[in-house]
Amino acid sequence: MKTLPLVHAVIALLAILAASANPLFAIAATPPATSSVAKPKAGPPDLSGLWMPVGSSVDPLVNSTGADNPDTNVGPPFGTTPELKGVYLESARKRAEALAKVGSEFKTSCKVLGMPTNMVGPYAVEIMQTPTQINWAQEFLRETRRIYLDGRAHPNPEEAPSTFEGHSVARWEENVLVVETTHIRQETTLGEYGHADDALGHGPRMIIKERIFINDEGLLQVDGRVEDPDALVKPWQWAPLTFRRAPKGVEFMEFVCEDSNNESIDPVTGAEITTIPERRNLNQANNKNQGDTK
Amino acid sequence: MNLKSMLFGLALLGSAAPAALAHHSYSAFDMSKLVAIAGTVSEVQFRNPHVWLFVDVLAGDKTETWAIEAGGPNILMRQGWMANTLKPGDKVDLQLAPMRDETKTGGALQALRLPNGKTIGTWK
Repeated sequence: MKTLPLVHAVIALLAILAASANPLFAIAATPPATSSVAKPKAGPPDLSGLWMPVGSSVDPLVNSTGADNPDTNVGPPFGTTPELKGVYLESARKRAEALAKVGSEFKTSCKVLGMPTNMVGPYAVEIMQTPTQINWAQEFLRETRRIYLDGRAHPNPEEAPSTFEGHSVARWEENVLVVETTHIRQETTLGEYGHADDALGHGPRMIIKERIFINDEGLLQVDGRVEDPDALVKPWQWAPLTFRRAPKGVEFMEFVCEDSNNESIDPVTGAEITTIPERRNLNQANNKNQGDTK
Repeated sequence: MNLKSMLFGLALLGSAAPAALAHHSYSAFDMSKLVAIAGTVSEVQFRNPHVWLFVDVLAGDKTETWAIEAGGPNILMRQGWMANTLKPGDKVDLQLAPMRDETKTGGALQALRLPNGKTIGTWK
């Protein structure tokens, strides 16, 4: 092993000699100041991969049972709340009152969250990036946004019905993905975690403007501003949403609602009911108290 | 306080940061109470949207079965609780928030000590 430094020294010496004798080596080592070869332009950052919402139960820095986070389950989902007005404010008040009556902070169903609520979906996000399209897939209810970078325009609202995810077009401004989303179904809400069954969650002309980038901490950050002259007193800026890269080896998982065997909505009160699921091995159940709470 | 909880605590200090959300209400459970039980796993339903664990606990001369709800596999698998980690017959210690209906032996899982020594959640 003691011969290794000597071998390295010889290799280094040969390399220096070769570089000084061969102009090609010299050019490779020190490009002349007047080189006409254009420096390859760095492309936009590659956002592809799996990302975990910071502070969520799937954040690798959080140890959670998934049923133990009441302390963090406070405050508005987006950090800030929009100033609604008119029929949209009235609609939001009714939902808040109905939830308060049944002692719940929020109510969800199997209906996809849609924009912008799916941006605070509680689980992993998988981004697939190409030069012309970025897909933002969310584990919760398997929602996928498609963001087009090919220069297309939004569709004619007279022709194309709105959707839960809306229609997103984007461009790169240096390292920032600048996204504009329109055509969003009015069942989606602003600043809440739930739906507006009366389709007054926001106005028909709403535009969501996002700036998506890797911040100084290496986190994926999404800044969002919602412009909705029908429903908002003034444009609403949500608090930055951040996502941490998932550890190597972690894969996207589907989270479906259809399998639910223990959650339902009381048709009279609107309250969410949690019931203990039926046992598969009935021989093991030997106390009558364990079972359905209904 | 370990490093993870410190970092989590620091992350929460930003008051404008969005809240971490669970996907459904815990109104069926009294989240202000904590009950500790030790028993034997009798069944594991490892599925969406929530994993349910059934644990037999000796209470005097009879056995009570507790039904405990946790998060979904996409939360638990990422912390090392896989579909085959717990099997009937395994001994476990756990803490739960009991159901508001006190006639039911059920709860929301707050912390679980697995047979391999790992703890899911924060033991209080």
